[in-house]
Amino acid sequence: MMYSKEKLDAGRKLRALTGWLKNQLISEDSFHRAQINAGELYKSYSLLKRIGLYVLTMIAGQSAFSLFGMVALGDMGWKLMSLVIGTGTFFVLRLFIQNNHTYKQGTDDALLHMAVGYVAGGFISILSPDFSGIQLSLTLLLLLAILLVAVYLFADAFLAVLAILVLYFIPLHLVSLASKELLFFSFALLLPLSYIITRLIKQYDTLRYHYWHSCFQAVRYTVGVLAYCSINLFVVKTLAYQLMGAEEIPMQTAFLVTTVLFPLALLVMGLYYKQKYLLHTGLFLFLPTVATIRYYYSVMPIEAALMLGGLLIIAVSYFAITLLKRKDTAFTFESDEDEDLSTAETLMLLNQFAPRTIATEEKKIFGGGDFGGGGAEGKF
Amino acid sequence: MLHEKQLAEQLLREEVLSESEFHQIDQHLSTQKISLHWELRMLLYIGITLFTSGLGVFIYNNIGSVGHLLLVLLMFAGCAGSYYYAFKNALPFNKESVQHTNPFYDYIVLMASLLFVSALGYLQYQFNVFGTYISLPTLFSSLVLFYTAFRFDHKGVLTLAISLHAAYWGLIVSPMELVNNPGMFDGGERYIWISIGVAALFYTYAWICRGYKVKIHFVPVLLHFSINIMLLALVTAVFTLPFKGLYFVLLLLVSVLWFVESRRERSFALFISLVLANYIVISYYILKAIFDWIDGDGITAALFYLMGSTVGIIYILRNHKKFTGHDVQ
Repeated sequence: MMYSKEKLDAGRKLRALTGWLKNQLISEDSFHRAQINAGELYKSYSLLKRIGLYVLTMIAGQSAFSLFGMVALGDMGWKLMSLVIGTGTFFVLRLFIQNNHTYKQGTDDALLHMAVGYVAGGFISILSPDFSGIQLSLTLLLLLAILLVAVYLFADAFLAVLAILVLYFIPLHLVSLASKELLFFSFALLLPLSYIITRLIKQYDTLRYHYWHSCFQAVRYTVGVLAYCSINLFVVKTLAYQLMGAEEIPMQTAFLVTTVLFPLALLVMGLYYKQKYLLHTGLFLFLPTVATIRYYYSVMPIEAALMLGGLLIIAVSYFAITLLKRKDTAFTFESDEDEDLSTAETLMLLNQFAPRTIATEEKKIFGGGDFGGGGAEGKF
Repeated sequence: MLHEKQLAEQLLREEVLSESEFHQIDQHLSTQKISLHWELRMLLYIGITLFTSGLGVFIYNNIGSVGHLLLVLLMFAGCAGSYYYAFKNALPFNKESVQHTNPFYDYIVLMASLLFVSALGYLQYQFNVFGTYISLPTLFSSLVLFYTAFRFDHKGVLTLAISLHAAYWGLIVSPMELVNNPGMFDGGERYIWISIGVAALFYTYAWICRGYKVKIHFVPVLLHFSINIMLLALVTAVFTLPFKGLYFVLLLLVSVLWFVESRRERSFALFISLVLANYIVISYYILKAIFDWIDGDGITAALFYLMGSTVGIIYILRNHKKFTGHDVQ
């Protein structure tokens, strides 16, 4: 781990102790007994600041690397240069983390992604220039190793998602080399594979490995979506057509049922096991489920579907909120102090309902427009 | 918080927590409820969006058979019903922030506002009630929505009121519209000055709120609209209009004002907006000079400039406390 585990541990302790003190579960003496100096811990930046720093670091980094473009190198020279730049960026990142006490502040994220990108790009272009065959699988194995090392050292959720995608892709690619029919049936294995990964994560997502919690969460969401892909009617039918030219698949109704039941099952499991990631994934997967059903079985016009769907969702939310307010359950409608999505909600509202056209007497202030045809021409 | 129980056990072993405190925490964690606040709010919002979108398509498709008058009456009836509910269940007006206990209340206020805007727009479109003054419904809607926002303390309605107010003056202020149509501010000198005027108007509203100490939590919203409209207009002016120098000087002058505001409001978002706007314009002049003055090898100098300048901006953003005097991360 490149980041200071001591600082990360202390930060976690401080957050917990602050919460307990606020809820009057511990005394001030106990709070101070932990002897954590908040000034020495990593500071967490806002999302806006992280994005800003990420983009600016990317510009700075790409400008610096483009300077190497001034040097005339051959094809292999460029590939090797990519490896050198990537490795160099890793060292710069390491120095940056050590000297600036930086943790997930945008700049380090950008440097890490650039470093991995250059190293992986260099290796792939050297080892598998035509991006096919068994060479590709071996190269992807190398890429997986690079990604896993990067995730281990920097606990980056984005790279963890990439690693899991590569992990899924390698066996599928190997199978595709043997036969396309076999590849089609291999997709069914995504479901049990996702289950195994989720079980493994459950085992390791403990206090001891809390540094990688964001990676575990990101992988949980990803494997949930991938598992759904393996049983979604649209995905399965499209694959059958693309890989085997089959217009129809056997057990189509069974796939339709699984397409509907999977998100529902995630919701039920989320409520039963009190796991928010299951609830989020289940809610999100309702979108492709509705789209799939409408694609194959359009039973009503779009406006009726929108209105009925909207009313159903409003009714479900109303029922759920009323239930949570009245009944004593394991869930509550009280807002969590850690979360505030009011700005996102306002932005969505503005985006959805703000005027997009202007009604005014003087259209010309909007830049005017050219009009031609029908014997008329002029500026308006 | 995650792994809290394990952490409490660890702190007990480290003798930071006493046995009784550990048991209290354990009991608290076992009875702690999981919040579904934002999940259900988002679901409710998605439901309302789907329903209103479907209603819009339905009206569009069935306008001939349903009848215009009936539709307008239905919309006004829905609007009146929602406003009636809102007023009947409203908390007394307070200059401070007000939080209604009913979670659906905010959405009913929102629905009343949306129906009012749609009904009024439809009335003008179909029955031409405002005659040739076709922008008046927009102004009237914005004023009603401003009142609604202040009376029922609704930030969402406030943003809609602001967007309608801007629309009355000829500006579209939807974020996605800006992404999809980046040239929307590129409408000539008059458009730029209108934008500056609208930004100044919102800034004045913010000052009025401050002066009368009414809904102070609305001030950042007004300021964000004001600064972003002003900066976008001035940056566009520098790139597209003659007298670039004049707009550049104006940009620097208003930047001083916004810098003071970002300090006052302790807002990093205001600070980053003005830093980026100035960086873009200053870089434009510097890169232009580089390519004008250096023959042949301008690209190398430009890359050096980009590298150095972005590192400088990163330094400013990372250490913004030194500049703004506040430590909002």
